[in-house]
Amino acid sequence: MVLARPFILFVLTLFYMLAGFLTLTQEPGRKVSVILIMCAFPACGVFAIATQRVIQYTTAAGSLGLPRHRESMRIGQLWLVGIFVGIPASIAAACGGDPTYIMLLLVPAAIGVLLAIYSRWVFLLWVTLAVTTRFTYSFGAWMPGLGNAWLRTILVVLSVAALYWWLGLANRLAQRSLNASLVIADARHESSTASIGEALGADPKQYDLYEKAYDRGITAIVAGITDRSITKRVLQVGLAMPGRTNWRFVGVMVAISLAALLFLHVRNPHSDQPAGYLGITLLAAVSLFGQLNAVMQACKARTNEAALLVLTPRWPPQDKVKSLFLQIILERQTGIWAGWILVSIFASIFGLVGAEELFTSTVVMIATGSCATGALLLALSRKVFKEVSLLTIATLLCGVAGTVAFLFGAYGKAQGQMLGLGLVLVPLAVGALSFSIRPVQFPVRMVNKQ
Amino acid sequence: MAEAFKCEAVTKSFGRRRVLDGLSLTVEPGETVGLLGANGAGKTTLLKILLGLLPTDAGRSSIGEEPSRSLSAVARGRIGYVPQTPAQFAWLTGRAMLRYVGAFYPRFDWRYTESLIGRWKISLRTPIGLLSPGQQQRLSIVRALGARPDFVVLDEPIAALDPATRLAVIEELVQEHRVRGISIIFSSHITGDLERLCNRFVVLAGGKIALNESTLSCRNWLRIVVNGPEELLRTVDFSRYRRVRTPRAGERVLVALRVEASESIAQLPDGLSASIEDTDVESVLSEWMQ
Repeated sequence: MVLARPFILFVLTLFYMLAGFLTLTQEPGRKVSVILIMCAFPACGVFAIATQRVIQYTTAAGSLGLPRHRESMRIGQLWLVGIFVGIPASIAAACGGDPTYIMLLLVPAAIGVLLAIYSRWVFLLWVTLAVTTRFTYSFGAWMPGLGNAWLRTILVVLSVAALYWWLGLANRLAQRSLNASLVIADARHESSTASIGEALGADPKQYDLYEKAYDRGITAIVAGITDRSITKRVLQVGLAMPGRTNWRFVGVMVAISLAALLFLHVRNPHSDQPAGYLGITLLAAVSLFGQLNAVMQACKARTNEAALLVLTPRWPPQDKVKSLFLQIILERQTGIWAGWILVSIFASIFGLVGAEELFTSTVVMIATGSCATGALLLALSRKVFKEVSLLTIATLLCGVAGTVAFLFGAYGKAQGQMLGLGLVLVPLAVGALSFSIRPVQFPVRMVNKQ
Repeated sequence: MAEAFKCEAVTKSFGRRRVLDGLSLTVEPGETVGLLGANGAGKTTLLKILLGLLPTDAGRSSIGEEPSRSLSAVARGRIGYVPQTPAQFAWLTGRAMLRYVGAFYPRFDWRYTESLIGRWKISLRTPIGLLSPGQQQRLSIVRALGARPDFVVLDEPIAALDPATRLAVIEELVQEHRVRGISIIFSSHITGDLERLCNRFVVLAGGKIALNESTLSCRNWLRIVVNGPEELLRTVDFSRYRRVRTPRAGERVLVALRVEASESIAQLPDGLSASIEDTDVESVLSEWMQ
């Protein structure tokens, strides 16, 4: 499934030919290292691609009810382990390599799997590390650590665990795609829960439970629709907007951020952690923009649903709709603000950041909140939605200019700081003013489109 | 009694393109109107303006006695709308969507809705996004009719339906019209279905109403194709015909009354040949769409 793609096959062939050439040209003592390093990259890439394919094919095969697809998938995965880990390891062993080093070939495979599934986290980690360490630590700087036998053992054990988990991925996905399978079975006009379960070899009680939970959820949501008003949750469901704040996720992020700061502090108590804290602020700021952008994207993508809702008798008046949007805008920001404030408080208490970093980060966060909220409010209060709006760009530039003036140009001068703060708050003020005096654009109307 | 739907001198442009140009249309209570037009003729725009979903550049529109852009809750409760895109609320199952939308109506008719679902064999457990387009369209129509509206607007709602279901939907609308006297504007390209349901056809072309005629009248028309030298054709007075079109030099397509067709052909000068090409309503109406 992975090797069937001509491009991938070509790249792999090229890579292994190069590896073979390099190995042959090296002196005997270095051959094993070359084999291991050269085989680590394709292993990582192939396992990342294979993981994506496993997810894709298992879900599809599960939905279609293909027989024995999980077993076939596991056999395919074992083949990949054999080809991309087993064979290079055997060659390295034949060249007289140290088995404890050879086993490290499992690590890139495991990294590939984790990259495919937790790419967001890996990217986040990478950005955090890149910002916090100011790019001073190259990959090579970490390599000598591999000389430590304990570290090698830990890496191999973790990699084996990750690959074991990966081998069971198809099974778990098949369980997870049970609902999708039931859906397809339902589309085949299976008449009852029992017949659906029977057709799929699944426990019908599972579907019963799922359906009851789903019904309870809908019941709770529609309870928010009354003659006088609706709740923000009703609007969020109607437009498929992101719902409640995931406090567990916020907690995990706070813990990771603090752990990263602590780690940097232990490594270098004097220089790393302020930059690390600024990096965390940067990520929080980007997430803040993302959260509010998601609200706008939902409005843009669900104009048909919005049209149906405004034509219903219980659709609330303009003022109420505005209030719902404001509630949603606030809710979408709450988690990020709370997480960032918690990190800032703990980091201050433990002396991980100084007053200057706290000040700078606060200005950045306020500016981002002002710009993101202002841009969304402006967009919602326009007659039509424009991808490029000069007013929005101008107000956002005010926010950026304000941040720069506040932090650098006028740092330490009260007048300059006041001007900077004023500019920072311009987007929010303009957005709020426009939103308060103009009707809310609902449904969203795209320019030049029906 | 006020008109069910009314728009007066409505103009609407998207950028530089004028889609509706001073268009006026009235639909009386209990009337069923088939809205036709080529792709991009402005049917959806007109329907959205009638429903108050789009502002006009000029002119005004109303439903019942209320302006479309500021409908009261009571007026909104009397409207049923089936949009062109059938996959609404794709993230909900059919049952959840009906419960969700139904809750916005104080008097959503669940018994009637369940009866339609049963008859039209709609799968309610499936997320709407995973349903076939036909099932999605059925569900969309059920959602609109479940509110027992007095004014129904359907924007190409049956394109993806199989003939049997199309017929079932049309029969249901006919029944609702007969029993409850609902007003319907039905936009579609399937003229045969419209003919079963609608008592009037409105054809849009060039931003205006090109034809506004009762179904009965349209059934009495047919197409005549006249061929001959262009010079000779130019000398003939075709003003008595309902429609004269020149598809190419040396050819005229005429729409004439069925009873007058033979006489019309006989009166043509020598050197011209004429033949009756199509006699069905769809072919005749298509003459106004070109």
